Order: sequence, then C-alpha cells, then structure tokens
Amino acid sequence: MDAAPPVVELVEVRKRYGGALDDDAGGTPVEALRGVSLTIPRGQLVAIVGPSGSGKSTLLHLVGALDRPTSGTLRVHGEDLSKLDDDALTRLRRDRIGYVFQFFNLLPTLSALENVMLPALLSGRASPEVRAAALAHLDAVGLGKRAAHRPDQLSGGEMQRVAVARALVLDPPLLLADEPTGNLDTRTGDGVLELLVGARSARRTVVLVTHDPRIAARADRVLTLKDGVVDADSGAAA
Amino acid sequence: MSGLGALVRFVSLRRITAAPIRSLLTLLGVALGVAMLVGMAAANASILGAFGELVDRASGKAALEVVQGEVGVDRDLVDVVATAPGVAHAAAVIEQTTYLDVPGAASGPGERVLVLGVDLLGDLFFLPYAHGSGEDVLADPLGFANDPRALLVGATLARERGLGPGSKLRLRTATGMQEFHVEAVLTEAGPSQAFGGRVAVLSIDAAALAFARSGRADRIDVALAEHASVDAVADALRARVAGHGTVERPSRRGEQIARMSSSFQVGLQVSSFIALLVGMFLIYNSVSIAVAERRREIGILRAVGVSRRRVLAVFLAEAVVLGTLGGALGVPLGGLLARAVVASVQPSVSRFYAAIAPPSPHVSARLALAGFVVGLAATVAAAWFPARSAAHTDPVAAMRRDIHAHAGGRVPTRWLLAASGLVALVVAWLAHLGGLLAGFVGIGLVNLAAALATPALVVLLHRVAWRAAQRWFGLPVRLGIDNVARHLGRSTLTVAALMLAAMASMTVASYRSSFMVSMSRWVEQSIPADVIITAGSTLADQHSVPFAPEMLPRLQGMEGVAYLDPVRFVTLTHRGMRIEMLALGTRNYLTRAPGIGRQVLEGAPIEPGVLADAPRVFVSENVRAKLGVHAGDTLELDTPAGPRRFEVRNVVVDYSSDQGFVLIDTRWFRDAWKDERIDGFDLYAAPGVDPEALAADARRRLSSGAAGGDSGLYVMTSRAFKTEIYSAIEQTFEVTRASELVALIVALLGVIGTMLSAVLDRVREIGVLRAIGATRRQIAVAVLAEATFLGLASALIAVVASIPCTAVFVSVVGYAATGWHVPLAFDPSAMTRFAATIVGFAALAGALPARHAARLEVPRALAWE
Ligand SMILES: Nc1ncnc2c1ncn2[C@@H]1O[C@H](COP(=O)(O)OP(=O)(O)OP(=O)(O)O)[C@@H](O)[C@H]1O
Ligand SMILES: [Mg+2]
Repeated sequence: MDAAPPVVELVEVRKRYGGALDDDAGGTPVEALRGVSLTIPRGQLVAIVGPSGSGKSTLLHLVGALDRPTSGTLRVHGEDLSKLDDDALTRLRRDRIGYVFQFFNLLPTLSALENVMLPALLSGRASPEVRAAALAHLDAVGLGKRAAHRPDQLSGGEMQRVAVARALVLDPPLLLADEPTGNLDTRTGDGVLELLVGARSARRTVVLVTHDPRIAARADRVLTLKDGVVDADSGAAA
Repeated sequence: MSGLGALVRFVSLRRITAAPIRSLLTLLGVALGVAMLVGMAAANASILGAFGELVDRASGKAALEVVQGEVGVDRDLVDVVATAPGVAHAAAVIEQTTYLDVPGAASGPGERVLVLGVDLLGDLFFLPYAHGSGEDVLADPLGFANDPRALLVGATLARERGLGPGSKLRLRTATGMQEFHVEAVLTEAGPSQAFGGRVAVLSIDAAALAFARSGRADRIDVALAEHASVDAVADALRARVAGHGTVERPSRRGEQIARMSSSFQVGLQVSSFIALLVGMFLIYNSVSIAVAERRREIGILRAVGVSRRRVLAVFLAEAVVLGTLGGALGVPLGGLLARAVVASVQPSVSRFYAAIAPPSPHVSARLALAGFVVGLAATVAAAWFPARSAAHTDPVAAMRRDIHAHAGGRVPTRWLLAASGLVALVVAWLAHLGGLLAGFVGIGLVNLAAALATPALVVLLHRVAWRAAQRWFGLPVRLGIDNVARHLGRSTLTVAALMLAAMASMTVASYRSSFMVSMSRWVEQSIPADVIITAGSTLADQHSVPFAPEMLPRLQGMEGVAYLDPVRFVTLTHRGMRIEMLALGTRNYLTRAPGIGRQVLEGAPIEPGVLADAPRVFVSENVRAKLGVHAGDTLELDTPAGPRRFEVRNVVVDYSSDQGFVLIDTRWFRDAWKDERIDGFDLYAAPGVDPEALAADARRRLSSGAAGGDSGLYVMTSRAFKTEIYSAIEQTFEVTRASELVALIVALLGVIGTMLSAVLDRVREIGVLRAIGATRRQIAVAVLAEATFLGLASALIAVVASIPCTAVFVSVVGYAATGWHVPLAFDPSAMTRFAATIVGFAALAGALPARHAARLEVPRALAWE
C-alpha cells in the first residue's frame, strides 16, 4: 500500500441531471454518472477517454470541485467535498487545482500576464514575486515576450499555452484539462500537450479528458467511460 | 407563411420562456415610456380643461360679457347694456369663492365653495340651474330675492354635506362668518356644475351685502338677439360702456387666464417634454439592448439559411407585439400618473391663477392613440437598427464566441463630441435670441448636446475609473470597469438615459433655487409689517374674501399698534393683460420697508411721500418689459370712473405677480377705483410689543360674534406670513416631484436591463472565473462595480450638463414667462442629493443581476454557448 493518501478518491459516485432538484434541465432526468468508484494516487498522469456523452466532462467537473455528486463520496486532496461550503470549494479550486478548458480560457480584457496571475490576483496576492512567477511560467510556455498582449492578439495555441501557465502559476498538486487540444490543429495541439504531460511530476497529478489516442498512449493510466460507468481502467489492471 | 410562423414560434416564443425577466423588463420599459407620454399630456389637458371650465362657469349662454378686472362693473350698467341694439338678455352676476362651515356636520370646516349672486328680479335667462326647474326649485322667488340669508345649493354640495331645504350653514363673508339657510337644492346644469358642483347661489343683493360689493357686480352676461352679429353688438356695447368696463367674449377670459398661467404651464410643458424624451429613450434603451444581445441568435439564423428579410421580419413582428402590449399597459398607467400630477399641482394653480377644481384627468381616445403610436414607433425603430445591423453582419462574425466581435460596432465618440459642440453653439445662439420657444428648443438641444457628448465622456471617465480601480481596488472592481468599455454602445445608452433623468431633476432644482434665492431676498426686504391679517386665503390671492370697510373700526384703537394699514390687492385688466395692483399706505410702508431702496431698477431715489403726494405708481420689471414703460412715463389705466393717468415713479424688483405688478397709494386707488374693500390688514407693532400678543388680540376682535370657529381668517405674524409665502412658492414646484420619481424608475429599469444583458453576455467568462477560484462575492462585486460606474458617470455628466441647462431655463424660459431677470443660483445640496440617488439606485439596480451572476452554476456556465 502506498503511504501517501490518494489525490482523488470516488466511491459509488452518481450524477444525475434534471428531475426535481434541477428544474432548468427539465424533461427526463439524465444519469451522467452511474456509480463510479476510483482512486488516483499522487503523481499519476491519467487520460479519460470515451464516446461523446459518456460522462467525461461530468467526471472532471466533480473532481475539479466545480460540481457536487448526486450521491456517493468524493474526496480530493483528502477532503470530503460534500462537507465543504461554496467558499471552501472555491478556495480549493483556486489554490490546489489547476484547470484548462477546451476553449475560451482567458479573460479578454486582461493581458496574457494578468491572465496568468489571475488566481493570485483573485486571492489578493499581487506581489512582485507573484508577478515574477507568472512571467517565469509564461516564459516556460514560450510566451515571455507576449506578456503584455491581450487574448485577441494571440493565436488559439498561444491562448491554450497561456491557460496552461495560469493553471500552474500557484503550483497546484492537481492539474485537470478537458480536451485542451480539441480546438487546435495537430501540431499546435502537440505543443500544448507536451506542456501538460511535462507538468506531471512526483508531486503533481495530471488528469486529461481526450479523444486523441496518441495522448492516451503516453498516459500512465487510461480510464474509459461508457454510459456513465468506467468501462475499462488500465491502471486498475496494471 | 408557415415558415415565418415557425420562426416566430422558435425565435420569439422561446425567448420569452427562456428569459422571462428580461422580456418583462423590456415590456415594462415600453409601458413606462408610453405612460410618461400619456400621463403628462393628460395632466396638462386636465389643468387646461379646468381653465376652460372657468369660461363655462362664466357664460353658459352668454355670448358676450362686460367686465372690469377684479373691482368689477357698476350694476347700473345692466340697463345700459340691455337696451343696446342686438342684445336680447343681460344680467349682472357676482362670483366669489369662500369658506363653508356646516354646523354639526361630520367633515371639518374650511371647504371652499363658489358663491354665485344672481339677479332673480332681472333677466332670468342666465339662471345657473337646470332649465325648467327654476319654478319647481323656488316656490317664492320674490321672498328669496329679499332674504339676505337665503341660498340655493348645488346637488353635489348638498349630498356631500347632508344639506336640504331648511338646513343651516355658515359662509365666510366680508364681515366674518355668517349663517345662511338653504332654500332649495339645485339640479346642477351649466354654471352650477362649476367648481366640482360645490356651488351656492344667492340673490345678487344678498351676495353684494355678504361680500361688500356695494353696487358692483363681477360681470354682466349678455345674450344676443337672433341674427345679431357678435362683433357688431360688441362694438355697440364698447361704445356704450367705454371707460367703465371691457366687452369680451367669455372665452377671452379663459384664454387670458390660460395665458396668465403660462409660466406655470411652462413647468408642465417642460415636464411633458422631458417625459417625451425620457419615455422614448426608455423604450429605445430597453428594446435595442434586448435585440442587440440576440445578435448571436441572428447570426445562427442567418447561418442556417434564413434570409435577411425573414430575420428582420421576425424581429419587427416581435417589436410590434411588444409595442402593442407596452402601449396597452402604458395608457392606463399614464392615467394614474396624470392623476398624481394633477393632485400635486392643483393647489398652486388654484391659489395663484384662478380658483379651479380641475376635473379628474382623463386619457382621451386621441391621446391614448397618440401615446400608443409614438410608443410603437419608438419600439419598432429601436428594434430595427440593431436587428438590421446584426442581419447584415457576416453570420460567422455574429456567432463568434469572442466577445469583441459583437460589441455592437464602434461608437464614433469624436464625431459625436464634435456634433455636441455644434449643437451647443446653436443653443448659445437661441439663448441670445430669447423667447419662450427659443428657450424650449434650447433646453431640448442642451439635452441633445449632453447625450451626444456622453460617449466621449464615458470613455474619459472610464479611463479615470480604470486607473483608480487598478490602484486602489481589487481585481473584481477592475473587471467590472473593464466591461464598461467592452460594450461602449450599451453603456453609453444607459448612461445617457440616466444622465438625462438626473439632469432634469437637477435643472429643476436649480431653477427653483434661483427663484427662491431672489424671491426670499425680496420677501425679507419688502414686508415690514409685524402682523398680517387676511381672509379666505393667506396670501390675498384668488381665494381672498375681502373684508368690508366696516371691519376697520374693530381693529382701530388697539393697544400696541403703531400703524394699522388696510391693504387692497386686485387684479386689473389692462390691454388684455392682467396686472396685480397693490394699494396700501405708502408713506408708512416706504418709511419702514428695510430694503426698498435696493430694489429700485429705474428712477430717482425713493422718499416716503413719493406715491402718496401725487398720483404715481411703482411698476415691476415685467410691467416695464410688457408695456415698455419707464420711470417718468405715464401709465393710463381703466377705472370704473373712466381712464386715469399715473406717473411711473420707479421701476422696482417685485415678485408679487409673474403677470406684472403695480404699487399705488390707498388714497389714489380709492379715488380712482371707488373700491373700499380690504384684502388684508398690515399691523405695525409699537416698539417692544410682542407681535404674537398683537395677533391674538386682533384675532379676538375680528371673530367676536363668530360662534364655533372662524374659517378662513388668517392672523399671522410676519414670520408666519413669510413662511407661508415660501411654502406657496415651493408648492408651485410640486409638479416636478412626479418627474423625479419617474427619473428614479428610469434609472432602476435602465440599469437592471443593461446589467442583466451584461451578465448574460459573460456567462461563460463568469464560469471560467469561478472555476479558477473567484468567489461568488467577487463575481457580485464585479457586476456591482460596473453598475455603480454607470450611475457615477451619469451623475457626473448630469451635474456638468445641468449648468447650461439651468442657465437656459432661468434666463431664457424663465425670463420669457415671468419678465423677471433672476440671477442663477444653483442648488448644490439638491444636485448632490440627486447625484447620490442616481448612483445609489444604479448600484441597487445592479444587485439583481449581481445576484444572478453570483449564483450561476459553474458547470452550466462553462457549457454556455
Ligand atoms: N447541465 C446538464 N444538464 C443536463 N444534462 C447534462 C448536463 N451536462 C451534461 N449532461 C448530460 O450528461 C451526459 C454526460 O455529459 P458529459 O458532458 O459529461 O459528456 P462527455 O463525455 O464530456 O461528452 P463530450 O465528449 O461530448 O464532451 C450527456 O448525456 C449530457 O447530455
Ligand atoms: Mg465533454
């Protein structure tokens, strides 16, 4: 048994959209996750794959503390998320989770540097050190020279790289990405992917949702979802 | 076409179910806009109608009348008039509003009634009650005519006060409260419907006795023989009564009063005009924002192959439905607004211009239609432009997620600023030109100039606010301020609407304070008496019930009185204009009035005897402006004894009447006008005597014999009297309260609408912010910061723009309406208050969208397209 507690732990997690509790969705309830149990240890690079509508994004949202399961237990960084209020969840996201979305990651009125600094600015820590760290991260994604540019002056790939820099700026132990290369051509996507893969370390766990089999090939573990359940789990087999 | 039907179903109906609050707000915006238009117009019509009602009261069947200002015509003149060729009927009438007191009645004293004195022994043609009911009503006309205490009451009054034949009631007369008894109840018709039916009829002799009219009547009604020409008869009459009376059509009198109250109507018209502007703006603002935020939707429709014309047709159909519903809602809402406005202005109209009881305002079919059409047109226009622009945009660009792509196009701030400068030049030229019309157009153009300059000013203020936010506030505030510039068009529209509303309130406040400052200086300097006594009304205005000269001895010989001055304040007709004349003991007055010397505009320095020693008068600057008379000139005035000439000794500052004012000595007034009635007594206390004690003594002496209270008798110390004057002046500005309220509602709706759509535009962005660690509070702060900025920018621009607007209002419109040169005096406290209110309301209005933004569920926000 590994001594360190797992970064993510799900026990019989279910997520239902619609129905009595969710009047906006209306109509028939959709069971997006139907009993998912899994554990992700520290430092793992996990790829989640599966057909469209299988519940990949839903799962990532739960793990990213953006949403709450309908039932089951969900622990992130050892904390039972059902016991945290909205502010505590927000702090958890801000300080200990990095997130990269498929598109529209950046705030259009902020410069690239400000976008990278965003988590720090939101926590009221706009020190020169943070600025330096943000610049270093921009440099690390190859955009040090574009710090003052606004998102509309950047290409799609550059925007995603800024998003990666932002996700890493507070050095979170968990990095999540939902189809981060889905909007990019293959070559550009590869560059972004390298950054994400490279972000994985002994201390940092990386979870990617992807349709791209080549990414899956580079992951430590591939989790296949189908109809809201884990259909296959290479990590469990390993 | 079924295609269009399906589109409407999917586009328009979906919209309503998907964004019910937005749809409702837009509808409310249109409805309020229409309500503003309709309400102010209906209120105006009601007040004007009340003036018209004065005419009905006057005539009914009279084609002509012989009048002579407030002092009235000699009753002997009836015979002269009746025998003129072409005259079929002529009868003298006395008309007086006074106080009614019903002993033992439930409702308190102090209600006003209109008393008509009619000649039952003369020509009965004009009797003010239903034709044919005269005989039934009066069993004994001769007995009635000879009973000085008998009267008839209108059915409304009888019902309200529980009166019937034999009931007792008391009226304030020239000699105090006197008891009368009801002879019969009248079926109201013609003149007895006047004054809301609160009418009492006395025989003319009884009325003359009660109101000290000795031999005078207020007018002689004239009806023409068949085939007689009005003009020919009028000319014949003029020749007969020359110098003793004026021959007019009854409608003239109403017209005169309407003209006389023009300065008052200016207030109403400005409000209507602003209402029109704000109403259209409100509609335009809500509708255009609602359409602009659906740009993406239009892009999608275009992308899936719906033609441009089809898209436009859908949005126009929507606008027509919206405009129709808004109009249907707005017209009755306007009726309510009109009622509130009339209720707030009626007292001051009644006080200063004529005793009116305005009919409850009524939204005529024509007015309803006009409001409806204007509202609909504004709605369709507001939908047309943004929809057309969206339909002409490349569908892909319209659909792009990137917010920059649909910022609503560039706003040509510089061009607009330049245009604003040009408009300002036109305003300056109009102000130079002068006149009521130029003034109104000028005010409209100041509004326009301010609106045109708004985009540039918003950009400037945005820059300042951005720096401040960056420096002193956290990221959320900065993000809120950022958003202002992202949708400059939308922000500007909102700011302009708020700004116009705030500016209107500030301008009116400064207009009011300009007049107040000048008037209070004048009041303090020109009322030296220590105790002032009036009856019927505190200010000897249109409701005054003059005292009979027999009342003077009651006050004579009072201890502690240094000087007792009987004062008369009458309205004269002069060359078709009305002028107020004040007659008092000028030697005493000029000795004691502290600041009278400072008020002289023209003429030699004033000495106490200047008006007493010779037939001379002072005239106010508006008389100078209207008649072109100057110090040293001769002023010829009609009197019952024929025309008389007076030397204009000085032109002075005097705010007694916006129609014109003449000060004369009692000696010359009585000599020329043969009128001994007294509108009030001015008491000057001997040194060391307490005015309060003096007042109490006077009150006791005047009401001795009046059992159970003395309605309508006012004995005031000069402090109380001045306070009364100030509150009367304040009251004339009451009408503006309604527009202030509306301004706040506009603020609230405008900001709620803008901010809701701002939030809707940024749902996904808010999702990202929340996902990477923004708290709900931070999101709410960003939205509130944006709303507050809009309020702040509006308030600042309004403060600046209200300065030229006030200048035009006071110096051009105010001067044209009153003939007074009133120095500008801004009201910083009111301006600050309005500014603070606008900012506060804007922030408050941001609360709802802020809450909505803060409560967005993160995953759903992230999935937002
Ligand atoms: N807010 C929501 N309301 C209702 N149903 C939802 C909602 N979000 C997701 N679903 C449904 O839940 C199921 C899983 O959705 P999810 O977005 O997790 O799929 P996914 O695997 O990420 O698909 P994709 O590869 O297309 O992104 C789908 O059937 C989807 O329609
Ligand atoms: Mg997904």
